[in-house]
Amino acid sequence: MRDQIEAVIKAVSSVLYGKQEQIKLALTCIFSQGHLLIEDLPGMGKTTLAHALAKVLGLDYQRLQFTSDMLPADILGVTIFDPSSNRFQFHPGPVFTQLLLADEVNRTTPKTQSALLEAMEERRVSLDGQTHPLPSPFFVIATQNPVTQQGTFPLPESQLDRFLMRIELGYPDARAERELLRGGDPRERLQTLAAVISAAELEQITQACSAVKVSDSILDYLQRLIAYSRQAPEFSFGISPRGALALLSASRSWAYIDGRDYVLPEDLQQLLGPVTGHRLRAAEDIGGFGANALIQQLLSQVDVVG
Amino acid sequence: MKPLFQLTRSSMIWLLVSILMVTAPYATVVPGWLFLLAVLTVGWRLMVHSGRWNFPHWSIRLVLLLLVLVGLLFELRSGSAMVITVSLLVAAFLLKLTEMYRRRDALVVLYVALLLIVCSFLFFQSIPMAFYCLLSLVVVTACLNTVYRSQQNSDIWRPLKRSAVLYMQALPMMLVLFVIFPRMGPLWQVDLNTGQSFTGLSDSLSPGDVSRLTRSADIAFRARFDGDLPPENQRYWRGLTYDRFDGRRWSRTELQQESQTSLLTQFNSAYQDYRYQIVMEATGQQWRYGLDVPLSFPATMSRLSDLTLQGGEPLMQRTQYSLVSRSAPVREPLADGHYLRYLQLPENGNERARQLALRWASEQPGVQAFTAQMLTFFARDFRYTLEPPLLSGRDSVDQFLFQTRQGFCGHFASAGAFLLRAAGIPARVVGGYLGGEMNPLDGALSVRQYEAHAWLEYWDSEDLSWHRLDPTSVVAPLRLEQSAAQLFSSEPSFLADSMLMRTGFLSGSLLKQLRLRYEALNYGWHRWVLNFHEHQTGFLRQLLGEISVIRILLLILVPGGLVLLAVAGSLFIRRGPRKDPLFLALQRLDKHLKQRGMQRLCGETPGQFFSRLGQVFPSLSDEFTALSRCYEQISYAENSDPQLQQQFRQLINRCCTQIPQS
Repeated sequence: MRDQIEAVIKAVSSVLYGKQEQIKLALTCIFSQGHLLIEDLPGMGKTTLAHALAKVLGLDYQRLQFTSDMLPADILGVTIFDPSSNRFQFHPGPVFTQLLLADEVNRTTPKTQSALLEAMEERRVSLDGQTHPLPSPFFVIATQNPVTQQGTFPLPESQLDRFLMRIELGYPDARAERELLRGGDPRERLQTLAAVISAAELEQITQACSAVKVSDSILDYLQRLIAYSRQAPEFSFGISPRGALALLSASRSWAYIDGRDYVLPEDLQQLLGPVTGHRLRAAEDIGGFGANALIQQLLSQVDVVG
Repeated sequence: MKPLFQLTRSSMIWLLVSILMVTAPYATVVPGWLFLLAVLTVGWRLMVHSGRWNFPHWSIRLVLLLLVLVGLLFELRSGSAMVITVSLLVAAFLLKLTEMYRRRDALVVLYVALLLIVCSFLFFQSIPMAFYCLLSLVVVTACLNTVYRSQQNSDIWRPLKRSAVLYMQALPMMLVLFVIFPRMGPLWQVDLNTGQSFTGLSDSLSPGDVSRLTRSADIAFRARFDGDLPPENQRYWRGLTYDRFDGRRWSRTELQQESQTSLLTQFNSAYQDYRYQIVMEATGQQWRYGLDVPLSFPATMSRLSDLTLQGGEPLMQRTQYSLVSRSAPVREPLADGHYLRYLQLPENGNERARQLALRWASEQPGVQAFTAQMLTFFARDFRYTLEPPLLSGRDSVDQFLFQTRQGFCGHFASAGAFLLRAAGIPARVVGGYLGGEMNPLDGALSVRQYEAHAWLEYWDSEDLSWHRLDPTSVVAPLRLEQSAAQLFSSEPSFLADSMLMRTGFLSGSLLKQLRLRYEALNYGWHRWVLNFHEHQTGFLRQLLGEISVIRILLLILVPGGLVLLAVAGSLFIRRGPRKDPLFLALQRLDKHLKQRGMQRLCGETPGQFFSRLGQVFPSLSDEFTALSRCYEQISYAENSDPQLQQQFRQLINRCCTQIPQS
């Protein structure tokens, strides 16, 4: 099982150079059955990563480019009267897939953003009084441009909270950049990618991840982190219980990818930024530019051993 | 403008209950118009709370204050200073309600409420009152609790529960302090009972007076004997003597104090001694009661030449003292002045009685013969009654002796003393009590007002001694042998003031049982709670051996310190580090590393720390890697393999010994 994970990482790395860490984080998110938000400037490889993951994991996927004039029906689907059968018929939208690539999710209006809410949380779609379950597994990998860019509608906190993780890709280092420049168009190599693991194997990995052991001292540490974030004056609000659960389940998957069946404090430290960065807000940070500095403070102020 | 402090709903409710509870006992003490003030201020505060009215303007408050002051000044003419002072406190307490803007003001109101609770003890000291005050304390504390609680709490009973728990916790401390905390004398004393009337004997006696007391079942005093009780017909409780007669009333002249030893030698030791304690109710008078004849008494009291006891000052509150008495005639060589004093009679009046006395004296000389004659005379034609006809004439003794011939003990004692003096025998009337009811529950004898009695004493020139003579004993021998209650039961005027009491005293019913039970409880309360300072010295001496400030301080501080230490200890144990062998081993390593200036940083995981150590001490790199793996396994993988623990300890030991010392 571990070999397959290695293979997945390797396959994705062949498309996205020098981003092992981010690839592992993205896999962690998927193994924890969470949704992933990739935030970075245009052209950093967000879409490439999403595409590559979908292909390598052998998931049925849809790509959806969000625009400012998009409506909920464009995502969820629509009920149309069919004159031949004299009935209303539901035409499922692009959301009915296993992996939804929501490209530039913050370019659309909050109304349309909210349409994704139920789909992400409940994994189903309610339309015209009918509930349509989404396929399983169901993941959303959304990409967004930094909020400072023009023509964006920042995702509200309630929407952000639905994402298990938010990661940034960042510029590749010099060596990876060189390789990229030398290697030609990544899009072509993307076409050559094949599924490395099957849906059943993904299910197995998911289960194995949730069985990773969490000791009391890890829970103590987690609780100290939560308590600090709730009490310290630098935070305008602390880590929510949902945030804490997310951190724990992500840590389990991270530990599993790392080849352990128990969680280490290092796992929590590694994942604290990706998992809680978009959920926390600094007291002085009115615009909501994230809380990366706060995460560092949290890590340096809370002792690992009680 | 600062925002006003808004009392929460539960706080307001508790505040009202507190005010009601704290001021209620004063209803009988303070002037009635303060009730109007209470209604006004409490009502106003409620309207403010509900947002309908504003706080009163300062001018209105000023007018209210002035009105109250003027009202109290008027009261000053009639009431005692203490009552006015307390009234002022109550009024200020109520007025403060109308300017309760801030939390601080609410606190002031509650603190004054606490003071008022204490002040109510100035007026009431009964057991129910003590419990009532305790309840008030709990309620006021509950209110204090709600004032400090800022957020609205819907549970109204919660503060009360909290406060009750607080008092339960404080109870042991209270008991300890009650027992051992030294009672200091008051810095100032207030005369509370000025203008208040007492039931009891007075310093002059006219024949009808004693029967007035039979309307009252109030306790005069209670006595508890250490050994035997005197027989019922010997329970003569001496109060005071009357030596001057003006033809109608007997009164007393001021007497000299007498040294204790001068009398002692004259006692005949063949008579029995009685040792007992008395708890005497307030009388407003200086005299104290004791059995005939007090032999030893507390230093604060003195004995007068007529063998009555006198306290230093008028008895304003219930007090307790110990006595030893011996029932014996007392030798006293009467000096001339005294001799004449006990023969004093008005110049004229009551001629028939004088003639009768002279005739008896001439018929059979000798004091014994005279008294025998007199007793026979009383026994023959006289009737004992609580409702004798009024003696209205100028010669009241004549009227009693030869016309009405019905009377109460006062009549007989008065007439007997007159006859004796007329015959030239020194005599005096003694006022006091006869009898007492045994309470089987606590073995104490209660002597009540209706047992008030008057008898006489004459001086026999043959043995130079005073002898007791009770004419009532021949007229109504039952008075000596039965309880007064039994004897008087047929008399309609007996305990006429209270029908309930009458039933309780007469029947052997449940009511009587209840009454006895309550009295026993009350007696214990007075003896052991209100007058504990009397016993405290003895108790402390038993406990400490010798009483000194140091010892008492030690007695308070040592147990208190132990309790605090125990609390601190339990806190330390709860908060202290886990007694995990793994943890202890790590601590040992930490100590070694600290000497080298190495320390795990806050936020550094053990894994990171060990790998850092591996870089700092390259020679131990392998050990630290292994240590890191072991720690991971034990602490995070929860591997409870004992071999692993063993390995971990060995690694720690190796690291500790091999870390190069600086």
